[in-house]
Amino acid sequence: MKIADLRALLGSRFLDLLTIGVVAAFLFPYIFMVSSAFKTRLDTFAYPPIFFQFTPTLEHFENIFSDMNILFYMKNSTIIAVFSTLLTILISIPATYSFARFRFRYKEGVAYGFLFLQMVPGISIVFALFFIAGSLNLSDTHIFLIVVYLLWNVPYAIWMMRGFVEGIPVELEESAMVDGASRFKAFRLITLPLMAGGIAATAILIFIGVWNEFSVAFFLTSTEARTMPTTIAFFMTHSGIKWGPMFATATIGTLPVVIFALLVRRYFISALTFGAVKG
Amino acid sequence: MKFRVVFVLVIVALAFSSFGALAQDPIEEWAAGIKDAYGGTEITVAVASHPSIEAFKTMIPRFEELTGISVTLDEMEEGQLSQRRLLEVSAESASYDAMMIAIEWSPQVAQSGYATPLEPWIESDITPDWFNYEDILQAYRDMFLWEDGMHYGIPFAGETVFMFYREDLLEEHGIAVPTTFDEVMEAAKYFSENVDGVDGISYRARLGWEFTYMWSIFLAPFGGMMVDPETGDVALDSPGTIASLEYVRDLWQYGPVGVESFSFPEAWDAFMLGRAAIMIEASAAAPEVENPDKSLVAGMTGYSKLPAGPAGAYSGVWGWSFAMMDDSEVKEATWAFIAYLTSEGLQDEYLANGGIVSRQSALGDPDLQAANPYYQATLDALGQAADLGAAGLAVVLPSPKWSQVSSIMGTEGGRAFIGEITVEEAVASMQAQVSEVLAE
Amino acid sequence: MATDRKLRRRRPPWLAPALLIVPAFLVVFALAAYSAVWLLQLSMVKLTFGDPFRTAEWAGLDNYQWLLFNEFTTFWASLRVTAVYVVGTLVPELIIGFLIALLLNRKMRGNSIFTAALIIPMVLMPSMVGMVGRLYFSPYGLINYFTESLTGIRHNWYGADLALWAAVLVDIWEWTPFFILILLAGLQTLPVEPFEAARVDGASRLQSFIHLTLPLMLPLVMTTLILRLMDVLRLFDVIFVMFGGGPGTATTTLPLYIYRTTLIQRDVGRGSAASVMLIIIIVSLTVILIKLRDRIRYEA
Repeated sequence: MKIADLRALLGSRFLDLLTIGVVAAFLFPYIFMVSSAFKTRLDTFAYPPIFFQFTPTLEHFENIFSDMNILFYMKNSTIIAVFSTLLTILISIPATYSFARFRFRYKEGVAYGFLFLQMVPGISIVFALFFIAGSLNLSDTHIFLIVVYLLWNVPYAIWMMRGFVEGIPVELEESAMVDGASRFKAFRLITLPLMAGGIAATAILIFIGVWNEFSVAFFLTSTEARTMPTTIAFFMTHSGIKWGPMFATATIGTLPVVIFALLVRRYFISALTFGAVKG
Repeated sequence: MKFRVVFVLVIVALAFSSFGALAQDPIEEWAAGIKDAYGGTEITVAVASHPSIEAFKTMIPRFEELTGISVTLDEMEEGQLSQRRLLEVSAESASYDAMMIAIEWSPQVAQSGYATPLEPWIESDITPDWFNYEDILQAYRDMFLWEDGMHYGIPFAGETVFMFYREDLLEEHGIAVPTTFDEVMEAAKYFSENVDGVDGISYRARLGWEFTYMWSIFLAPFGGMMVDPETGDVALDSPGTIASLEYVRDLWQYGPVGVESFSFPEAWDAFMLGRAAIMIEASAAAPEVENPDKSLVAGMTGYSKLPAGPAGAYSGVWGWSFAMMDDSEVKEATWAFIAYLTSEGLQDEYLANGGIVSRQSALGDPDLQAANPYYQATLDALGQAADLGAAGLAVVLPSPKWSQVSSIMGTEGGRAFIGEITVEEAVASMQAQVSEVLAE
Repeated sequence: MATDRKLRRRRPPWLAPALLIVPAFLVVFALAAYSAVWLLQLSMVKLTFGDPFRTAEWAGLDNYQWLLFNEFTTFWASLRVTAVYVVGTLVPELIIGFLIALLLNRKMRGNSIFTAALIIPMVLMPSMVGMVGRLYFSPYGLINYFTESLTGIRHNWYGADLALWAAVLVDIWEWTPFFILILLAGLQTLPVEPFEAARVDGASRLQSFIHLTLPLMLPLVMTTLILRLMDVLRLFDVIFVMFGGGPGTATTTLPLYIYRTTLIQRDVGRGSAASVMLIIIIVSLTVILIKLRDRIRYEA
């Protein structure tokens, strides 16, 4: 194709190797991070760095599970990510359908309005949210974070899923309606199953986003609803940074998402690219 | 007033007299009385992650068993604890019975009425004979003294700053332990220029609070100050302040690469991994330096009080305490908890479990001194801190606005440190901004 | 059925779409409006973080004025840092991402595994990535090991000159895959006909790349840039964990500036004013870029 010239010039074997090299370069820091979770403190600090020739230790994992109770924070993260994702999808589907299938005045204006709200940086409004949470007596609760994340997730979901719905031929629905189905029934029986892939893809991205979110969670939670990403604060202790437990937590905290993303990589990539290619 | 003095004397006398004869019994005897009166009470205490809290955690089960009071520790990171406190103060409600309070938070919790003054409790019948309040170093006790003459926290983990040095390196290169800051500069220069892989000096200088912490140590020895003790005016643009900031900035060239982003862990690591000859850091680093699992220089390190500058030799104190919330409805049980854990009677157990020392009886104990080579330096540095207090100065401004002040000093000082602005520009900016904050 | 149609026609045509949007609208706009009112209000008062709100004093536009014009303000320095950070991340990410996308856009065994592997940096927790970055870029860290092995020099990534670039490198590592995957999808959906026509006309591969591939890809490139721009402008966690804004103001991007002002310096008013300005910057930049993209697409 386009780069066939180059390929002829350099040989495809070289490009293959280059590809492998590039991908390895992107993977290496993560692999090194995971391996550091099994190193003793002095091994972590060794210079030149120790890559493979160390005796693995599980002490850091024991530490985070027994002393730090990392499962509690994982539970919080899971509750918040699952419910915020579900709620987002539930609220966004009707709106998405409306944007994709109806024509009305100011439609694009409203759509862009949603988009702009999605751009608001968490750090900008986190202090306002801090006061709001206090005045509603909801500081440090799961429910407050779940609702707050809707502010970013709902516009994002609408924007993403709209493309998916618009990709489904409207004729399918119309023919069902001609056959006597109500609009809702046509949507439920025809469009909804067809957009399931899009919903899944969107949900995956939103779930990962919430799972990883730091700036809002860091300031709005302390003991009850503290999430995984904000546990980094625990490792900066009065006796130094606990690198081992930090690496162990990073491993535990990222592994589920990495595995999940790899399992559903088809959806993940389609979600990532669909919005952009369409938008 | 006279009555109070007599009362304290009686308590102290009782403490001394009963202490020699008995070991375990008085604790159980006291606890039995507490159990009768307050058994079954539940208390909640907010704490930060700290070695002393780890020690307390091993001691709490016995307290619960003896007294029947059940304790819930709400443990969080220091910054979170600080925000939690701010949140509660601004919401004007306390959800805890006691809280771990740092020196720099003390004015705010005292002024806002969030914490309750402790004098009535120290003198109450609940306080056991073996608590011995006066044995806690005065420098530490007075960190939590507020303008009304009352104390708002019982310190359990004090911290001061002294000098760490590599005995082996200094000996090998024939350099005497520096006693002035000029000598520190010379020694640092020597090591960073002549010894491969070893930098002259390590300390923390990360933007913000860390920079303020480190710099505040250097202020008084060079004649600098934050607020003039006589006039009460902000004096951040005084010649001494400028001199101290210039010294700190010049020291930079002999520090480890990247020291401008070092928080205390990185500063300690540089020393513990043998990459620095001298370190000027918190006493809390000493147990880490002596821990062979973490440190390559355990047993090779010497400790001394801080060197003298042109205007004298000073150090400072920081530290943690337990404060009792004014809103608590179970103050008796809460006070029993605080008094038990921070008492002299349980000090051995506390120290054995890694708690940070804060009592005269431990620091002056010959056996403990031999086991912990930094105890003497701690006492010496605390003497220097007392000199600082006697001069009307402090490393932490006793004001509820301290966090704003320290942030301004840390930001502008940090910028001058790396040469982003000149020292003169930095102090001018500090002077203007701090004056504005304190005037409000 | 006829009556049913009539009934439907009698309802105003905007009712159904409006009703469907209402839940989303209520949630999002209520949250946003509520926050916005608070934010605007906070940006016009003098209030110390930690004091009850009733102690706030009205300050009008003083906070904005201080940020923009006071002789000691570091707002402008922070704006400059932000600009360097945005350009420093987006340009390399685009170029490297495009090149790698071209590299991957070939028939090759294991291609799907490669694209899958590229997902990993993107889904890691940024706060943890920041901590790892703090260690990797330390004076005796992994990165300096590589630079020393290759060039014999250990750089001071913790210093004022390079700290921001260390944060930039972390972002490049994390987010270049985003460009790769999107641009790769774009390359794979390019129409075949123009390229065949060009080949018939005797155009070289390079010519058809410059005259066909690039223009056809431009709208997608713009869209990807817009998406990333919004994220980069509000990035907080990685820099916060790695350098906390320092040394000096070297890594104090606007989100860090807001954090330092509001939470550390506890000046809620000035911090909120800076927040308002950050929002204005993000929205206006995005609007401009969207307009630009639409014009490009229209011309193409």
